[in-house]
Amino acid sequence: MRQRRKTAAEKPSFRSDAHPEAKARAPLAVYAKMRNALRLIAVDAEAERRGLTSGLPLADARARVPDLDAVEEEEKADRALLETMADWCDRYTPLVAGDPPDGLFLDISGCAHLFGGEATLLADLVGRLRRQGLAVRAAIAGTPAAAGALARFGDQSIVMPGAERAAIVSLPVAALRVPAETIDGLAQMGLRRIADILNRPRAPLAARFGLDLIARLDAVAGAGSETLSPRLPLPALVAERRFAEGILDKDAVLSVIRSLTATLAETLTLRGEGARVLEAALFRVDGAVTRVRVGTGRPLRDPDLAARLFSERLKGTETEIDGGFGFDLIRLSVLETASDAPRQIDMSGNLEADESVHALIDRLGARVGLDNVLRYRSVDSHVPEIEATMVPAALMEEADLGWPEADQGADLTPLARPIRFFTPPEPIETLAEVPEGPPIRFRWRKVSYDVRLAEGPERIAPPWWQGDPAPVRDYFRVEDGQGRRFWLFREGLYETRGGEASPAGPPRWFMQGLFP
Amino acid sequence: MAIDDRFSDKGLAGNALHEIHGGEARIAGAATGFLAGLLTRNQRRADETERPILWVQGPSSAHETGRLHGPGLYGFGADPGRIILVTARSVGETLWVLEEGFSCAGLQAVVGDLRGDPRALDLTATRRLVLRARKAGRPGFLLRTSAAEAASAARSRWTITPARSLPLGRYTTGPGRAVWKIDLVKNRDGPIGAWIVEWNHHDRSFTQISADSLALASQTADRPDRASTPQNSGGETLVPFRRAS
Repeated sequence: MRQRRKTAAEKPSFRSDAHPEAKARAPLAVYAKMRNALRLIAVDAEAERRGLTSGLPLADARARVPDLDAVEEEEKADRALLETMADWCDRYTPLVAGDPPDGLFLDISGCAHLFGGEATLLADLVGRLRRQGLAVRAAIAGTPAAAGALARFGDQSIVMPGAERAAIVSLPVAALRVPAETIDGLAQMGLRRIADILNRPRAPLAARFGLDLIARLDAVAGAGSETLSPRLPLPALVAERRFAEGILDKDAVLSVIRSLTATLAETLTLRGEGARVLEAALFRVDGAVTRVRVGTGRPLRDPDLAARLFSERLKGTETEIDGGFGFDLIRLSVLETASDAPRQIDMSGNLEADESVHALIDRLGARVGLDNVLRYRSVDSHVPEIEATMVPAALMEEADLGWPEADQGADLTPLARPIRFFTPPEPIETLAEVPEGPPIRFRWRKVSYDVRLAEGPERIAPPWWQGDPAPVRDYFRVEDGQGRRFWLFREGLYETRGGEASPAGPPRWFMQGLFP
Repeated sequence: MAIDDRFSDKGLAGNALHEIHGGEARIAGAATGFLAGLLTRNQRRADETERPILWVQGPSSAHETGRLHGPGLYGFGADPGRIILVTARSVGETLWVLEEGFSCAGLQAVVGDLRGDPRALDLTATRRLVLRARKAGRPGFLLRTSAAEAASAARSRWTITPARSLPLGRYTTGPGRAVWKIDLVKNRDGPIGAWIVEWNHHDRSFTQISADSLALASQTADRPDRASTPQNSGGETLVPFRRAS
């Protein structure tokens, strides 16, 4: 970890370019409510030239510059913009961290040479962002704090390792990014620049302003160590391809993904691994980034298979991916791997059929979502909702589902569970019933049924060890005069032991499932 | 056996599409049970035991007719571990999943569980499925609820309605085994017919209880083989699949 780079302070002056109503460059300022008054919080170059500064009350500013274009601050939009910029910055390094409200850190250790060195990288980044209409300041230094201070308050773009101290001495103390009271306190003592406090005895400073000031001072001077927390999980493997001109065609995108997978497959093969989760990041020319993720049940290395999964995924998304003016960078990341040792060949030839089912599950999962391709697992519980739990087919080997070899027990037992199951159960209206017994008539979905046969109750209580229990349920298997068979339950009891009415009110009836 | 005799090859075509209608959504249990029974009988063949079944529930199917229930299938004698259940968000997606299923060599059968009369499921769509089934050499089923009997390319069409169950041993107050009236209303491999059958979930077999309304069906003049149908009510197995060629 050597160089950290910080792009900072996209001061809202960029809005004079981006603002749709900005004709003939009217001075632009952004205001927000601060200390019970509307004050300017950012001004563009033109407004600055006409004597406006941030902190000025809006009314004063309007009086001084009548043609001022004042815009209210939109925190949400600013945050969204910063997120978008962070996405875009992913093209330089996978390790991008946010520095709210207006900064970003990029850890470019080991990445700079890919762009022809630090200076070229910096120029490229600043140039591209400026062309997008953003006012950007950036610096490269050995620690995030130093880079941040230099980008916001300095003019030096690149600081060699070890030279941080010399580079920051002339900056104002505000560059330390300590609370405003601390800055005011230092100013009262005549300490305005970092140089003023850098070589002072530390104990009095710490006693007066707290240890935080000392920590910030060390960090900015390059002495402390800070770690960045990346916005996105760091991938295990990455391959990417850049294009001089944006590509738009979906088939072209897929063929790039296929060839990137082929590149990654070599490394995966050497490691004896396969990809479980793949993410394709499509960087649009105008800065928007689209991420598409596919998961697989079996570790995957086959480029054709990967391209097919992405193809299904792209078809499955409701909104077609908007290519705009085309993508100029496509990156494929392996987010999760699993060991994929060569399997022994099964002489019976079942392996091939097995493989084709696994491939089918992955393909279906890519299109309809892995959560919608499910299998039944045997669950040791008597609570109907838990019994009905299903697991994603991609995550389960068939042998682990746990259904015992069918043993149907005694010949003369009826079916205990329905073949179709309603979650949540549907309320029904009982028209006649005997207390504690099955209903004699009930109405469900606006049709009434006369119960001819009924068996029950099967009392199912929620597990008592799970704290506050849900009401007890009494299940009945009933058949009406025409042979329609249902699984009903009554929730709650008729009365408590003391003879008082149940606090939950009278019991309610529900339809839980349909028997064959 | 009576039902098997309705097919020129003594069983359902194993490489074709069959439609099973279950009437209204609220009585869909019967048709689901009949289909689960057919699939279970097919599974007992040695070469099919290991292969899973792809079961696709279309949009609103799980909500209106309930989701296929694993413990219920297990008690019924079917193997829930063999079923891959897919929930599709649209009818188009359901059809796509079915077609993908036919292109996979490792499956035993493909089931589309659809409610209502979606426009996307027209004659052309069923023809596509028929072609896929023939190419794959595997059976496909459309389980239709709340659906009209429209033109389709299916090889057979059944209508299943629940019927009163019989007392089972000492269980005389509650429902017994599953009993249905099954109507074979369309059959390209032979005559049609109607029966009342019981599913024995212990032996995993169908038992014919009566040849209900058989007389009505045999009035069709161009079905000469109908009259010779023996009215067998023994415990023989019914409707196994014809071997797919």
